[in-house]
Amino acid sequence: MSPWIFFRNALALGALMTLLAPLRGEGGVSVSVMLQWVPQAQFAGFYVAQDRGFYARRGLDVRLVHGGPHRDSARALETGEVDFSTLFLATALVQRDRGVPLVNVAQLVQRSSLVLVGREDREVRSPRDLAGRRVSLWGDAFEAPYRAFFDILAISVDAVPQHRSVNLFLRGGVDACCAMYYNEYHAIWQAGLDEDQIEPFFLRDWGLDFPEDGLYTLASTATRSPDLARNIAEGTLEGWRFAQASPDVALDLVMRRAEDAGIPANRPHMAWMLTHILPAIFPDDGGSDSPGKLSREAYLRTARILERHGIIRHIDPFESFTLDGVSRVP
Amino acid sequence: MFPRVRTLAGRMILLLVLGGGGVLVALSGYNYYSSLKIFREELRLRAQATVKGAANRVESVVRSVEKVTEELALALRILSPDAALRHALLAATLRDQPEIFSITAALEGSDGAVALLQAGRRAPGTFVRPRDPRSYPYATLDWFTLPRDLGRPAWSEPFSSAEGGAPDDSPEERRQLRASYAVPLFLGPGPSEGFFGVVACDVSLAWLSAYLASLPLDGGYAFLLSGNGTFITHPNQTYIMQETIFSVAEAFDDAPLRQLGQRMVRGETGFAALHNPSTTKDYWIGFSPVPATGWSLGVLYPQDSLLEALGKWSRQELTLGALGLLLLAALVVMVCRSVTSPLRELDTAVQRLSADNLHAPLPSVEGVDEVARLGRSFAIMVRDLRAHMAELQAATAARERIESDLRIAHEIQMSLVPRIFPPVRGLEIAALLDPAREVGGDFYDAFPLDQDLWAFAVGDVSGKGVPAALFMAVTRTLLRGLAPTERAPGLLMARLNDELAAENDTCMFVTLFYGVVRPSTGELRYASAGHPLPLRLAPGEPVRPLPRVSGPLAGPLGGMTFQEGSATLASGEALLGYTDGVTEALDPEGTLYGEERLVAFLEAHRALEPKELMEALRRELRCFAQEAPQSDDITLMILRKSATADS
Repeated sequence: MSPWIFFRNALALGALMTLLAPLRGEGGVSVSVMLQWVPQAQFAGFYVAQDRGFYARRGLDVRLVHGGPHRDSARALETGEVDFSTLFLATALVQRDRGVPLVNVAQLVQRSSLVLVGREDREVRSPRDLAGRRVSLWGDAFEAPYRAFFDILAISVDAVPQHRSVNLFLRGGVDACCAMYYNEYHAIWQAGLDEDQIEPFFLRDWGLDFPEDGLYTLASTATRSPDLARNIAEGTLEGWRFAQASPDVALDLVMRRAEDAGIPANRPHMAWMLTHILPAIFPDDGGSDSPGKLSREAYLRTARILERHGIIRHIDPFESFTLDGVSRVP
Repeated sequence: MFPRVRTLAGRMILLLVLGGGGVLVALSGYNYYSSLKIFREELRLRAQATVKGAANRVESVVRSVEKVTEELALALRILSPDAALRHALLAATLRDQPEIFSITAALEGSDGAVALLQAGRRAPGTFVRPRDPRSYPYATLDWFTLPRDLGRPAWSEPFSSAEGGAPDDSPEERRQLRASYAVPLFLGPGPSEGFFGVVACDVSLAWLSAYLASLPLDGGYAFLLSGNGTFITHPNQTYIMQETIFSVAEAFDDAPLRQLGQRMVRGETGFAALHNPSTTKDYWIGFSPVPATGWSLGVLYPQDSLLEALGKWSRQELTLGALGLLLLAALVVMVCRSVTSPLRELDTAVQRLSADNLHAPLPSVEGVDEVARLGRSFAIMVRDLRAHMAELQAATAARERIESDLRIAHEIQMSLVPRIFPPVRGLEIAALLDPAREVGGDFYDAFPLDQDLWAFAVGDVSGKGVPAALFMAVTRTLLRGLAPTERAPGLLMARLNDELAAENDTCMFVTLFYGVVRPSTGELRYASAGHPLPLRLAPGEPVRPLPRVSGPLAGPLGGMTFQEGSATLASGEALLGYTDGVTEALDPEGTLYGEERLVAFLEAHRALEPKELMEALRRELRCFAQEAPQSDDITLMILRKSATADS
């Protein structure tokens, strides 16, 4: 590099910094992001992005807060408590249907990890064995894919509400329960049930491959600061790529977050979670599901099933649901 | 394989070390393993007693909580749904039951409204307050849903934080590890019909850690698992509520640990060896369930401390054994010295003895043992040897005397037979006598009777040695004495016989050929006392003996007559007289030389001069006998009538 070019570049950088300065707080633009559940490997990409300065490099000072059983991330977004939230696509669609103007900034988890886990000792070996059986089911946005699942199978079950624990299943109170393959399925295994004692049925195998975690903000934020939203999305994706390349570093961060929050967590479980969520973020089938992008097809597929089951009443145009669509509107 | 050990002590020490050491090592090994088995069994019993006792203790505590909760549930069911009454009931229960940390009740009224009550402890006393169902999502929590959906009372998984507690729990409450016993409330009429709520009593589990830490476990530790395998207590605080026994097994890829966990959460009681992957130590674990809660209690005893004690014991045993062996070896050296030093002394003494002709003194060995007996035997042997040697010397001297006598006797006997004959006109004489011993019974003689008349004789006394020699001397002397006066051989022989028989107490006898020859004419007269007749070697004729004459052996009996024979020797004819030492010479196989072989030899060598023929025959006989000792005296005598005398 010649001295002249170096000098020119330094000048340009200085000018840029001066221009950006008013937009930033002490360490950059302050932004809050709520992750919809307690600290776990499901959010490893966010922790990495924050810890490794992927947000700071984009001029962002991101504050990560956690949702949980008593703290609903959709509601926190709606009330303006936070600027961004992670939500399942189905949850976001329900919120839109309720009139909350939220917008998908990034679709992180492209594939569904929803399973029904059957107990082998209750002779639940295929999905149709569930007919008439006692099954605990998650409510709200989770309810739709399971309902759709039973409709496809043309069976009905004796449903019992399932909340955050799988203890009812572990104690034999139900013959099957809902689970995320990357979380509850392994938690059940970590309670001593072997693979040959539990049978996971993947909903995605039955045309119910709903995208899951996405990053959302309110339409107002999206139209006001589309670059901010994009920077958060890009920083987060960079964090996930790093987690994919260096899972041990990511796991260290996950374990520290869990410990700081006083959340029980063990490393093998978090490792399992990370190992099984990464392929859903970076699907190896490529095609339309490019990382971080919500595909129109997946959006419509999910929305139509929710509509068909009366979870939502109408479907907004795809363009109005995504940051790209919204930010293009003048 | 083993070096050759030269000394007795060395061999005994080697044997002792190999044999004794082998036995010691084998015994120690056997001891170690049988002790290990006994220790393990003892430990198993102790572990099971300890773990069962502790589990029973925990069980009794949780059972008392169950009882209180169930009584409370019964009261809530039958009491009228009056808020003040319920408050009082909860407050009284909490006051009377110090082991209960807090009570929560969710009760649906007939109108569908939910009364949510919480009773807790806050210094200095207790409180009861209603809670807002909208801020406390009781219906999503295990303490409420489990009894409702199971249709029976249930212990919750232990909880400690926001995870299982309420959002408005105090910081103290959040720190406390708790478990809830929750009882569903049914109005009936069926056993689980008409569900209208749940009452749950929380019990703090803080005492559990302290209680389990107080168990006497000899350097081991105890832990408690929930029904899901989660650690409720563990010396490693980071395990509590974070890890399950299965997550630890997963982290270390430890299948046996997972299987152990499965046995524990299934509610089994047992005892097993366990490798703890996190401390990389080996333990023995005893486990027993707390049936009420579905928990499982495990107590671990480190194997190494036990093995260390056993190892120390074994090492001590081996050291003591080795010391004992050393001591024994020293004793063996001493004993061997006490045995071998007299032996060595004996050895040098015996060597001196052999060098010093048995005169060196022998060391005296005290005692009555084998070595002492050996020493005494040696002394006796040496004494006997000395005596024997003396006898031998005397005997040798005596024999040497006799031998010298015999040598002289031989000289005398040899001087009795003429060695050299004076030249005789018309007659050649040659003779030899080879006695089988120093002296013998054979003899020959030739002497002139007058100018032209020669007497000659060949005899053989019965027996051998000195008696025969003496008898021969007598016979020869008599013959010489009688021959000049009695010219007829037959009569002479009769007189000789009578003389011999007269004083012959020993009944000895002699065979004798006696002849008188006139060299000028070759005229020969002869008589024989049982003696082989001489062979004639006449020119142009086969070898043959002189014509037979009768005559008994001379000596045993007097008054006998002897026939007289006569012949004429042709010019150049030779006459060979001999004794039976010739024909009875033996070869090594015991074959007799015999008359035929003698005749054949003479036929073959008849051309030789008398002296040469005699020597040739002597050689022939030696050749025949080879190495065989000469068995009898050999006597040869040849007379030849000279061819010149005739001319």
